[in-house]
Amino acid sequence: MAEEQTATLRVGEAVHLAHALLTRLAELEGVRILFIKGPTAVLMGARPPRPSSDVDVLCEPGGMEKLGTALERCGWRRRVPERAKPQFVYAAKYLFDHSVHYIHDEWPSDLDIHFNFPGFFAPDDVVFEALWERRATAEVAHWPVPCADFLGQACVVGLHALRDPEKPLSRIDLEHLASALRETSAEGRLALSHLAATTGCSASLRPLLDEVGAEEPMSAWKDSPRLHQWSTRTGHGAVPTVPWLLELRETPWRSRPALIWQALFLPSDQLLSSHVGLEPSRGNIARLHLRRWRRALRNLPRGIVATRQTVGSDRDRHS
Amino acid sequence: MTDIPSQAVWSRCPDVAFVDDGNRVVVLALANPWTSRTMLLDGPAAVIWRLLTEPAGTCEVCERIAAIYERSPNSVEREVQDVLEALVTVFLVERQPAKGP
Repeated sequence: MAEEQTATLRVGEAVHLAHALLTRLAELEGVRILFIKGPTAVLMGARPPRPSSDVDVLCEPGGMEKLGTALERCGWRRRVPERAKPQFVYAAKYLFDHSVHYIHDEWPSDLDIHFNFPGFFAPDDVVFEALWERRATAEVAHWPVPCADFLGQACVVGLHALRDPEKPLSRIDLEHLASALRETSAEGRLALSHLAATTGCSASLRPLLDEVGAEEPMSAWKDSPRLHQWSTRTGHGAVPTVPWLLELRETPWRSRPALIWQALFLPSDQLLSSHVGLEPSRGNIARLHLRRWRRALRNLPRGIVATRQTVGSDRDRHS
Repeated sequence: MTDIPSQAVWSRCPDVAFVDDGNRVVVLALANPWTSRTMLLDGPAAVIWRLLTEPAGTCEVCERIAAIYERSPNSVEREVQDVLEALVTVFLVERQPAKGP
């Protein structure tokens, strides 16, 4: 009749129910959150319908600790423990650290709790308040959840796609956004420009803004140091081997063998993090390692060139 | 098992999120999220959950269940009451006494 459902909870069900759970926890803890991407982006018209495998939510500055504690009370835990050694020490300055991932043994989907989102160069509180001011409410799992409105989602989905614009899904999303934005009024496109300026994503969102004829906004955040990180992450950092090569380049020689071992043999939970629902058997883990090594070998030449360019442009910036 | 007045009115509890793809109903009671777990409703429980989009009395639920399963309302009454009571114990459904004449 009514059974407690554990391992057979489906990904789509988990994603939708997790929206309701997070909303409820945030309400109880007095933390403001905004759902981004996924089902809410679809409901706002900013993304084509397709299944999501995880939940993305932007948390107000200062709210992460309370929300994280609330999730842990419900049995969720961080994918990477807080006390874990950072994977990248030297390459970290080129990368975006923007969210904390939570997992649960009975839920086949991750929760991505964002404290910022790559591509927004204004301070986190400015970004959140700008998106919060124009928030919408969507119904997910028959529960009202707060989310970024169409223009807010357009910025987020657009920025996400522009991190790796050559990927097929990125192209689909950018085409969908461009089409949807062309159908909005001139006032709507002006509002998009204003939002981009306020949140500091006018440079990072430039290709989409140009595509739909949105005017270039004057932004206070044009020269943010994050713009350099963005350029690295999207231009060169999109090549899978670049973060490891950057780290290897800066690591002392005596520590390089250990780093290479670490790069080759990622911990199982990190390997599985992109394959929600995959049984953590030895066979599956071995297959994931092999797939990863093949991908690394394929991308190694490009990665070496990209690493040199990244270091070179960073040196030029500081000279 | 207590006898439930046939004039009772049943409704979904307000703090319940759920997904229903037409085959499966999975619910999550959120009044107390710290202890709640997802639950799969199947068979008559799923049918009754779907019937309660609006509050309904016991007789109405029995009649609709009887029509779906091609049985008489009297023959399903005990089972319907058992399911409704079970849904109450897991905080998915609440029972309101019917208003008097």
